[in-house]
Amino acid sequence: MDVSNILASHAAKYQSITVEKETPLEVDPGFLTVTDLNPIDEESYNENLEEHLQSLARDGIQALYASLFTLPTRTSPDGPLAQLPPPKTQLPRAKPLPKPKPQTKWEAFAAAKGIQHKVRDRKEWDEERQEWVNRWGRNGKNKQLEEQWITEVPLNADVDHDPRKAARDARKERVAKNEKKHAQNVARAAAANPRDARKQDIEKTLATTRISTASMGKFDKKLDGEKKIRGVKRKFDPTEKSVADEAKASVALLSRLESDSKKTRREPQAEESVLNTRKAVRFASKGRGGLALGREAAGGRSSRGGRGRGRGGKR
Amino acid sequence: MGRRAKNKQGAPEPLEKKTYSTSKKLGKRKADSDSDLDDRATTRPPKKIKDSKAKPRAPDSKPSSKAKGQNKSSVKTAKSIPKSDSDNDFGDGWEDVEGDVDVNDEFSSDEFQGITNNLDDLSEEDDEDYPLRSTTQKFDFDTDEEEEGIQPVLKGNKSKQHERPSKIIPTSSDGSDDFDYDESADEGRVTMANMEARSRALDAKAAAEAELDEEELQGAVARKDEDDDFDMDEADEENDAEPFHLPTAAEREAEKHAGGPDLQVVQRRMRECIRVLGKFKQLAEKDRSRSEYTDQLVADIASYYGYNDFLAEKLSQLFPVAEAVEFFEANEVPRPVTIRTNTLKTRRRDLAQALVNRGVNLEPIGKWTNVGLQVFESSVPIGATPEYLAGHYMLQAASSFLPVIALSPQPNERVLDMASAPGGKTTHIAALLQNTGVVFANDTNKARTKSLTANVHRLGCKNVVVCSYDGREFPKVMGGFDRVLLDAPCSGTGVISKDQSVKVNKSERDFTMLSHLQKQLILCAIDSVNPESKTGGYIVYSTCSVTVDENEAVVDYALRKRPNVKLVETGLSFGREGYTKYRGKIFNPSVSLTRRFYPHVHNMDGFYVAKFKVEKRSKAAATVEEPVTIPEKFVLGEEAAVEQVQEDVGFDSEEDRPYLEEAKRRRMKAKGLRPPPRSKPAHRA
Amino acid sequence: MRPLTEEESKAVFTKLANYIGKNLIHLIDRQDEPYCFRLHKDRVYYVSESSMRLGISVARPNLVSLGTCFGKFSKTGKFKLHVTALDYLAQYAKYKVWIKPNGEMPFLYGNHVVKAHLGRITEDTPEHQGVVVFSMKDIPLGFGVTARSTVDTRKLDPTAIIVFHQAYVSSTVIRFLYSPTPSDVGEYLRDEDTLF
Repeated sequence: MDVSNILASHAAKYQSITVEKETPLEVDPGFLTVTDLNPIDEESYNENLEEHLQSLARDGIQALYASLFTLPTRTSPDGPLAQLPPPKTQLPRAKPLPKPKPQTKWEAFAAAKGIQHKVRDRKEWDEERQEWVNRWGRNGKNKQLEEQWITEVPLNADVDHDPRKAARDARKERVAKNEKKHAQNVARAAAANPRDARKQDIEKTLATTRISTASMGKFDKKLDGEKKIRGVKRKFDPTEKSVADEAKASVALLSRLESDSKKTRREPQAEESVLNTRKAVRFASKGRGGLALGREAAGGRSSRGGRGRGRGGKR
Repeated sequence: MGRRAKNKQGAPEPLEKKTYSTSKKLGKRKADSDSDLDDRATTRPPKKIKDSKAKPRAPDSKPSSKAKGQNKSSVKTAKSIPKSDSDNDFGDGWEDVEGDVDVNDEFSSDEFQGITNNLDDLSEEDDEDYPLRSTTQKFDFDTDEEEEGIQPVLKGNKSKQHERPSKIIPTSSDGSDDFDYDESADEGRVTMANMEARSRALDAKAAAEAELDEEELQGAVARKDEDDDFDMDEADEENDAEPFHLPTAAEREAEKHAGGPDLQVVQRRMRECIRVLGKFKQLAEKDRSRSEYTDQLVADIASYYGYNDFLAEKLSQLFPVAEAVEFFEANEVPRPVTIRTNTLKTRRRDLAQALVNRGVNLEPIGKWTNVGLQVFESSVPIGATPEYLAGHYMLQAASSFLPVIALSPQPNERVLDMASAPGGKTTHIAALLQNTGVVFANDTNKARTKSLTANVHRLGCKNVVVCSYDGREFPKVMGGFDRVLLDAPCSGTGVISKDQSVKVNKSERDFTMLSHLQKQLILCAIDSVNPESKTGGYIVYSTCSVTVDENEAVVDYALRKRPNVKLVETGLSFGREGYTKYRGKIFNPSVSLTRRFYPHVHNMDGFYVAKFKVEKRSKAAATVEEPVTIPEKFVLGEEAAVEQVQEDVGFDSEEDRPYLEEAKRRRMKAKGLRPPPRSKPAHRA
Repeated sequence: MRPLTEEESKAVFTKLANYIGKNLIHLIDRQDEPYCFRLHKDRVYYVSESSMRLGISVARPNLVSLGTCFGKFSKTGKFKLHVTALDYLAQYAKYKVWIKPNGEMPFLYGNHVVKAHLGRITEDTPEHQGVVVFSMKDIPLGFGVTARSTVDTRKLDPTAIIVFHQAYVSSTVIRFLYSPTPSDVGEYLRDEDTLF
């Protein structure tokens, strides 16, 4: 039986599984990517863009599939799984490169003078013991001077001269000096950011201004949403202060409370707020003025009895 | 009143009544014994039975006791006297007692004397009737059964136990006296005139006899001998009737495997063991030792009442066998509900009136407190009346009045309550201070200070500072107190009726840990007191436990550790004296000034109260030590110099001296003495 | 423990003045013994000077309470009176309300005082005035705020509320020998936790 017809029709229906290109496609199964490096065929591109792109994509996918089937597989309940190799393509880094550390004072100096940094080994050769010993730390060489069993004392030394203590003090002093230098370097680096420095400066100024009124900030009006000054400790009276004084202060407060309530009753509101009164009156009276508004209110009061009470309640 | 007496709660009076009655018995008994030793012995046993061990009695007891009574009466009228006493106590006397307490206590003292003398008048019929009655009233048991054999034992034990209270009786003018009267009073009035003198004489004799009894108390064995002669016949009868066989070790094993004996068997065996232990020589099986019987009894107690073996043994060692059973029995019965009037807000009379109007049935607890009320029944929840909420009273066990009464704080003092939650005692102290001075209420447990604070506020105590420290930190936090109350954390073996879990959850380790803690606490308490205090300088140590290692042992330890502290009278008119010797341990003799309270004797929780007085650290004491120590050292130094030739290899005492000196100083400081100034030894060196 | 600041004192005094009015001066300036207000863990305590001075020795985390607790400051700085202040309020109260025996328990269980339970009331008590509630035997039971003035109460029907309760003595109760109903105990427990 001749099946060539059938095969031919089949072949016409399905394209080849091999992809032939001028430049072979680059397949990276690790990322499941295919890169087509061939130049675009301008003719087919212009003729029918969709078709062109589809054929490009089909070739790429075909190449990727072909590569996948060459991979070693592993069986699983969902069917065989291909094991992807590690990716070959180099991806660009996600984060920007770290900024260089600010130079320490010595590094700046060394750079300016062209001094090379030379690495010092952690270990040091001990001639006496004929072995490598720690330069510092446990059994460090830097403690040798204070731990040796015999020490030469200079002729002019004091009576209470303690060579071990002197050596130890000298070492401790070196350590302390280094720490101090380190702290200074850190501080210098922090100050290097001008934005932070400015912010700190502003906060400090603001805190100063807030307590720079006649009452040292005590009776100032609080703005809405104004934050408490940070870092300022509240001051309380000492617990063991004289109780008699305390009672006196309380009595004074009490009398103030009473007089306050009386005062507010007499003159309902002493407005020294941000409210622009003139403007408000003009608006409320629709431009006819305060007198007209007063007349109207007097006329209408009987009908609106609740008003007086409402104001009283607020007090 | 009769109705009330039968009431379940049984009245607080019973406790006092009991003590007193027993003491009276003692007094009488002693008087009798003077005249006739044998008689006394015979009489004692029946009485004992009635009081102590009514519960597990066997059915045949009734006839036997009757017979016994008749025997005795025939033998001697004198014998009958003690019995009648006891009868009075438990019989009619009790009902009337309550009435007396309520109405007026005044004629109690007169009557009391009458009673003691009346003993002679009592007839033999009393003997027959009362024993039975008494048992019925006291326990809910079927009383028809009584075994004679047991009776003697019980009686003997009881007499021993009660010797202390006996001393109390004649001196105290307590309301408790009234308990006995009503019956005796009727009879006593007739002879009243001439009786008084006689009764005094009897009391004197009784006092003399107290010592004798004490010896008896120590060893139950000794007593047995006395009982021998008269009890013989009865014992024989009983043995014939029901031969009792003590199970051997093997049998007990087998029994255990079988799942344990049933309650009936255990009950009967306990009864028998007690009987046998009472008169060991005649009743015991030949080849069995005394300890076998005791072991069996303890094991049975453990299984019958549900204790773990360790606790059952520990508690039963505290008492003679018969009384031990009584103690365990009492732990099954709840104590009466009592309340304390808050004198900061009201008076007892007003409160009682208000509560009566709300349908609460109550009466004063007793003469020893003027703020306590006992609640018999209540139609309203006693913890939710407006009076309660307004802080007019506090629900508080009768026993927790005792330490505060012993402490007796005076106004304007500074008082520390070291373990104060939930505040019953603290508020009592504040009430006694009349809101003057200041009370520091401490409790380690922060959660419990909440209820403490609530109670303090509810009762309107305005001078209380509540804090939450470990008690052992105390002298460091603050010292200089006039009085300190240490109601120490304890195993709670006195309040088993309240908290049944104690029966099984306490082990030997708990007891050692607790007593260690208590010893630390008591030293801290002593150090917190200001010895210079003008009005005070007292410490009260109390626990709601009955074991000796939490009580006497701790007190004794404190006495040894702090030479400037001594025990003083607690000011409580009743309660038994603390042990001065216990199972080979010998405590300071002054420990007898402390007081023990038992549920089965006083009808309040098991409790222990000791009161110390802190004295100034006298210079005399310090100097006495000084000369002793320092000269010694000199001698030592000189000798060393002389003998240097011999002991050049030995210790260099001269060189060691500063160290020795330092160690000595430290030791003296720890003891609370003032060490000599340091410069002195330095010069010498 | 520390003295109150001026704002805190102001808050406390205005609250107290609502109940005892000018008698407040008797609390501050006492004849018998100097007393003072102290703040500890947001609670305000009224305590004698001697107690206070001794209490200073107790470290802050260990001090639970001293003297009488008057109330507490909320986080927003408002002051709330506690029932524990009742003793003093009752002593100096300007306006009082007595309730009949059958009204005691309802009040103690947290209900408002209705007219039917009203025994007596101080004359001329205004509306929204702080009053102390007593039983007919003069036992202070709690305090509250009047819903109506004395004059207005005459016209009301028996179920109308006369006094809104603010605090009642049972709020201090922690433990009950017998509990009335489970929900009540729950309430007491909850209250007690927040009181101290």
